[in-house]
Amino acid sequence: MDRLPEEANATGQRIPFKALKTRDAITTAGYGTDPNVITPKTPWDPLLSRHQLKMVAALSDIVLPGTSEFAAPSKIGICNFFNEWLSAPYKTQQSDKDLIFQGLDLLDRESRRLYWVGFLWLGRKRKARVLDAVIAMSGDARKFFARFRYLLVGGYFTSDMGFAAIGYKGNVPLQSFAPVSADVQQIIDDELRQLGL
Amino acid sequence: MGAQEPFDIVIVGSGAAGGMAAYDLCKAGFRVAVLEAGRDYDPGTETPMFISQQKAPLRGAATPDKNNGYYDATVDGGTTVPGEPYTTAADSEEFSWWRPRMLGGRTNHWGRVALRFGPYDFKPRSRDGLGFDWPMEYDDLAPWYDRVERLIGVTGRPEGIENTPDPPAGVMLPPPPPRAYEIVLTRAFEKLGMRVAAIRAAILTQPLNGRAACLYATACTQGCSSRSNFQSTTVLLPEAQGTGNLTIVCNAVVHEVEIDATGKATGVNFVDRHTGDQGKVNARCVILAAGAFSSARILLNSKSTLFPNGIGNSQGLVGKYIMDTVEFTVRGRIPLLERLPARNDDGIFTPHIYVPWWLYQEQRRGELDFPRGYHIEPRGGRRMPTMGIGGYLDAQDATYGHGLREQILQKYGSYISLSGEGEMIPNEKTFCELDADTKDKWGVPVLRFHWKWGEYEVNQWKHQQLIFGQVISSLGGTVTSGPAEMPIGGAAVHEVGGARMGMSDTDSVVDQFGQCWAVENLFVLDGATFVSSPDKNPTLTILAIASRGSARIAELAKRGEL
Repeated sequence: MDRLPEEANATGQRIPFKALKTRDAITTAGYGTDPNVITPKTPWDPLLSRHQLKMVAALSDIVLPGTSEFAAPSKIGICNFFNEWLSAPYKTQQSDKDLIFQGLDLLDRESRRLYWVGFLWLGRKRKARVLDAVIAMSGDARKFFARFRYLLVGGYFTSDMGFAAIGYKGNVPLQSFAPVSADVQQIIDDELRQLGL
Repeated sequence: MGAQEPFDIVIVGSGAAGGMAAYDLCKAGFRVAVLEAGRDYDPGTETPMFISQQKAPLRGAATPDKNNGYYDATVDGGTTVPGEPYTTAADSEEFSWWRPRMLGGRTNHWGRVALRFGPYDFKPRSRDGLGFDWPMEYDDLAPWYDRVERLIGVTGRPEGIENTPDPPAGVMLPPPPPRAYEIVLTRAFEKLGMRVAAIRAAILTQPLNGRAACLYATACTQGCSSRSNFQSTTVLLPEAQGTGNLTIVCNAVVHEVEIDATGKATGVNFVDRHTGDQGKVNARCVILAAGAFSSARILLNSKSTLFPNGIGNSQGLVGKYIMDTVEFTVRGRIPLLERLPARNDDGIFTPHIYVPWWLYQEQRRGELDFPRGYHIEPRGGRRMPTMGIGGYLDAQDATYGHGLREQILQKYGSYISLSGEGEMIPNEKTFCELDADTKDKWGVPVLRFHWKWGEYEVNQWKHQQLIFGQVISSLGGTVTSGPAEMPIGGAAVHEVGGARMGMSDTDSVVDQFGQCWAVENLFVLDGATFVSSPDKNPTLTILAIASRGSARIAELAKRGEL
């Protein structure tokens, strides 16, 4: 299953499906090929320990802090998201689990090396310094940061609150689809003129 | 089923072709049985409208269980159908076969772009000496396009573009106005000499035949409980059932057309998906509409003394000349789009504009190194966030903290994608056959695929790369998708060919109405009959061919000639 559709679909749209290279029997431990899409359920058990969940919460809030308007990740259920994702039986998620679990351990180790205590006991500034130290490493440490951020950003902005935070205005019924307004058209014209179009 | 009175007509498959045939033939008064290999499916109660990604496992991301994401309407399918494998020959290029197992088939989750073939598309060999001509012309099919479009509803605007037919007045539904990013892209397309057309989409922009207009939300690929796009299960099958003439049998996996000693079809044999029991449906006429390659497989597996190599296969043409589309996508980021005020860009799900192939003259003059064209479908806008949002930042970029949020907000809506949908010329090295060694869970031989893109497809794909890069850079943007790869055969899910139509039994499996040369009361009405695979997405043409073939069946039956 090494050719899943690319998740990094930068337009937020369906992209042409890339075939799976192998056609092995699919796992029976997932939600199956005919799940109830009206009342979705996640059939697999969450695997993260209490400590790991606290680490996810703490790191999430450093990587993507809340604002006065939109809450920090830990306040909108990001731990549940990570717990579901990293516990899923599919290959992509299994590989994420290994990387993230190792990365969380590394954060703790690095924290103890620098400050003699685990990551959770540090204040915000020191947490950031530990993270910076991890980012400065190469190999899996760096991969851990990039993948954690990828999952965090995805999980946050696909949440109901994340839709508002990013400025998504769709998913509402309309009677008609309005043309762009005159002022938007003006902005478009100005921009294109600068490009000689 | 065996105990029942014979039906007038049994149809294998319930998607575009099967649904269309059931609709027409039930309305014409025939008693029809439709056999569907998958489960019953009701878009009225099973469509996730106005979804929340947050409620879906893994935020709706694609998995091996649901290859196009959790909410995609595909049931029990994708590139893997449990218990129903297929194989790819060792020397083949990579190939992928998308199949669902549900009433209505792929019409439940198709892309809804509904383009007519043009006059050139039916006579490709006459124009450039490659591939094969159809045994009909555009004018033969035009009235059936009109009829289908009036029935299902297709948007559009008269454009007067070469080889891109405009329907008669009153047939098209008004197209939605372009989204902001589409206005921007239009200017770049036109600068490069292209003509931009209003999208032709099987989505209602006004009420039609008792169906509600689109609500401008919810991806069509999830299905539609308001029946505002075309699905066999919302538009065709309920109407057919309303006649009282239709019997639908789900979970009936047909593997064989049965032939009597005189060479006439007596019905079809099937296996019940759940019990494994064998069954037979008797009928005076059999229609294969199982999906192109599945229909070819049934013909190949229908072996008898009269047809030792399968029905219609005396010339070895069943399974040959299968085709897909050269579907290739480049993604890019166009910073000027950041500066447009946020608005609701959901629209009718498909692009609101597209670019028909624009270089016919250049090809005529021999200025291009590929003879057949592609159209462009541009996508973008501030659409529903997916897990892909995480891909806005390069893995090498170490940004986190408030700067991370700023970057995401800034970049949201600035990405576009350009998808080319290009013609593939049929070739000798691309075909399917029965695999002597592999059987499905019921012991029926499966298909083995051989795929090879021709040099012309590769050249066309290179042209797509070049042009898409030019479009993006002319708007001050940059390409963000990774290194380009030739698409995988079959991945566009524009599955056609395998039992092509033609002028005689020496060059084809069926005639222009889908009637099998070898068995007069057996018809193939799906994409298997396609002789070529133009850049235009196939569904609308499958519907038109199925409708035309159904009229022929009705006519022959009433004359006592079946």
